[in-house]
Amino acid sequence: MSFLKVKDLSVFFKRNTNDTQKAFAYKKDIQVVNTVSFEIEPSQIFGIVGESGCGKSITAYSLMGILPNNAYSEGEIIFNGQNLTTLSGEQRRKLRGNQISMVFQEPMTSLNPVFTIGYQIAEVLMTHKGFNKGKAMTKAVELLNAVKIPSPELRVKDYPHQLSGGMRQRVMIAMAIACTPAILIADEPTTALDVTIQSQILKLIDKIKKDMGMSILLITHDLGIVYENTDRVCVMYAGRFLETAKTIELFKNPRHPYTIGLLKSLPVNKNIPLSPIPGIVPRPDNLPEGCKFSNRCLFALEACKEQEPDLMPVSDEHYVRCIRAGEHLWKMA
Amino acid sequence: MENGLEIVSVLNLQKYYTTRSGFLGRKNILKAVDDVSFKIKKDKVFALVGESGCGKSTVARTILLLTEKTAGTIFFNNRDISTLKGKDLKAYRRFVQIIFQDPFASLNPRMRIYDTLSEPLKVHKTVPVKMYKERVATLLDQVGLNHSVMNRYPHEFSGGQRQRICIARALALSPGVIVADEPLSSLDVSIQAQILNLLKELKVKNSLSFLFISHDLNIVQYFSDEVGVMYLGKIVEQAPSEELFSKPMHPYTEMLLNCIPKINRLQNSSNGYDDKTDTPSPLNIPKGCPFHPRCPKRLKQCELVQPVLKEYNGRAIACHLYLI
Ligand SMILES: Nc1ncnc2c1ncn2[C@@H]1O[C@H](COP(=O)(O)OP(=O)(O)OP(=O)(O)O)[C@@H](O)[C@H]1O
Ligand SMILES: Nc1ncnc2c1ncn2[C@@H]1O[C@H](COP(=O)(O)OP(=O)(O)O)[C@@H](O)[C@H]1O
Ligand code: SF4
Ligand SMILES: [Mg+2]
Ligand SMILES: [Mg+2]
Repeated sequence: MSFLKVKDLSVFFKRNTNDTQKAFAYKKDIQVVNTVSFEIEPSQIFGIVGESGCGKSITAYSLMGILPNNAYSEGEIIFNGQNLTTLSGEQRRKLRGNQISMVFQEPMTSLNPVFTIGYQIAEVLMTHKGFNKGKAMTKAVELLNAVKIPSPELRVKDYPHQLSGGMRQRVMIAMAIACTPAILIADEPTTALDVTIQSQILKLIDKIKKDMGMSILLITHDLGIVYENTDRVCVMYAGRFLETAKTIELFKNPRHPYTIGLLKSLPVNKNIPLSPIPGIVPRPDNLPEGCKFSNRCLFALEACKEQEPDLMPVSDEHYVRCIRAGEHLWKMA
Repeated sequence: MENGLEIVSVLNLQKYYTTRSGFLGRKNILKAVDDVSFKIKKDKVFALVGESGCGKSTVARTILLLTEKTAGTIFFNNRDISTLKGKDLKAYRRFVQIIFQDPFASLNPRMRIYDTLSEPLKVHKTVPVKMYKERVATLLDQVGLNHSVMNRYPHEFSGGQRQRICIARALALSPGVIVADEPLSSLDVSIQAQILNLLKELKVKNSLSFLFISHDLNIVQYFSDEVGVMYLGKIVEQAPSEELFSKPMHPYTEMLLNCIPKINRLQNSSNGYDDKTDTPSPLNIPKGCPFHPRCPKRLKQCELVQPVLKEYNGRAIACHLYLI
């Protein structure tokens, strides 16, 4: 049984049609997510890893149904047998925070500074579960306890500015899990935090997965986090999945030159020189022909510049979008 | 500790801020940096690590004379910099340059790259005006950018390219010491590796010494020669980097290293640390050892007596476990 199934999801940003610069007016809309498909099972942490601008957050926003006004999506998002993209705005609002919820990167901007954290957690329960205020506040204390905030009965009365960054992120998680959603999306939940606090938050997410059987989508740019915390992962670049596999398999047997390049960019040991990926991360309106990684790829052939490869299986549940995927390039890099 | 000619040395540096809190405006002393000493040695990289707010940038700013210190001494070639005047002070400012975290904020959007890079030459009059163009071209070469970028504006460049421009600006006056405060943290992984390679190359070619601040301990391990681990304004462990990373001794260093997510391509790893506490505020530093509320190895005396930084097996450690 699969809880969330995404099929050929694409997201576009509209070009500004009343653009005074006429040159842009007739150009096509910009595609920032390109036919992405994946499934997340219950009690699974599914990772999306990639550099900034590759489309991670936009993918998450489409699952949540919170794309910006100038964006639209294509493809299917199937949750409990229902295609979410066919639902009305009102129906999706009911799912949000209830069945599917999200934790954002910046814990300060996503909390309201004028309400206590207890009230903000309680409000989620009052809205979605119809709890009265007393019952919701009691549950808020329980939730603060569940996310390991010390003295929760005192802390419920605190305002966001009275908490540290790590505690705020834990409050965000408490709000996100308040209604026991089936799916939790965590978009770079620890990027703004110290490694020590990061490690606490990631352990908490893992515990929630185990205790509540949730499906978790963990978005990050950190391969170490992917390695330690996810069950399955896909590597995203220029709006596409370039490689997807079980996490252990991906690190044992990286096949795509981009994945290999990312791994070779990480400092491990003073004596192993870094071999960075050349060039810069391309913008979505300025991608090369053929394989979207071909202009930075150390293994590119002439054919790579002509046609974009499909995401093809190389072994059980391991898919790679590269014509040289079968060659064990890792050993040559 | 490793020998080597020291260029800048910091002795018992203190920076206290006075803040007011609450409706009554009670005065609080915030000890951002408290009794910190270390040496930046010739051609070496000294790194400062520690959690947010522990005082790393404050140390950097005092060395750069961007913040006035409360107490302590900074020596430049064995001269107390607070006694430097005129030409000597200018020479110090030229010799110590900075690279910041955010290459977007640190370039003036209205200045062409040529103007940004020639400005320090104008201020310090190190080369004649007719040589500016040549000097700017050399600087761009050094950071791997094409000469043609001279006439362009910062918004035309990516994050990594802007950081290259910032590095070129820092090199303009042929400095000996670069203070790099989180120079890679706003960059993507693939770009971080490019810039790190560039810094390594420049270090050798231009014979540079570094004060390197980073929260990414993998990068610190790769780039630094010596590391100072800071906790609430103090250095709690200082050691040659290879030793520190292969055998952390202070329980706080151990905790930090344990928290780095690691890629172990062969076997499943897991970090066994169970820390539930937050970093305490520098306005409310715990009595005794400032780390004791989070320390899994604390002894009775840790709650009462503050351990002093002492030499231990070629490093410096402030911890009761090593004072017996
Ligand atoms: N101008 C100031 N007035 C009052 N307090 C300050 C001032 N500047 C810094 N501080 C405080 O001094 C302490 C050390 O700050 P500093 O910026 O040096 O930390 P840091 O180690 O660089 O942290 P980060 O990793 O977040 O950059 C912090 O508690 C900070 O809030
Ligand atoms: N509101 C917006 N208007 C136009 N383009 C946008 C908007 N938000 C994001 N984009 C573009 O969509 C692409 C993907 O963005 P995002 O999903 O936020 O990347 P990531 O989360 O992987 O860093 C980027 O190229 C970004 O510039
Ligand atoms: S298809 Fe070609 S260009 Fe693309 S990643 Fe593979 S080898 Fe490189
Ligand atoms: Mg994002
Ligand atoms: Mg700082």
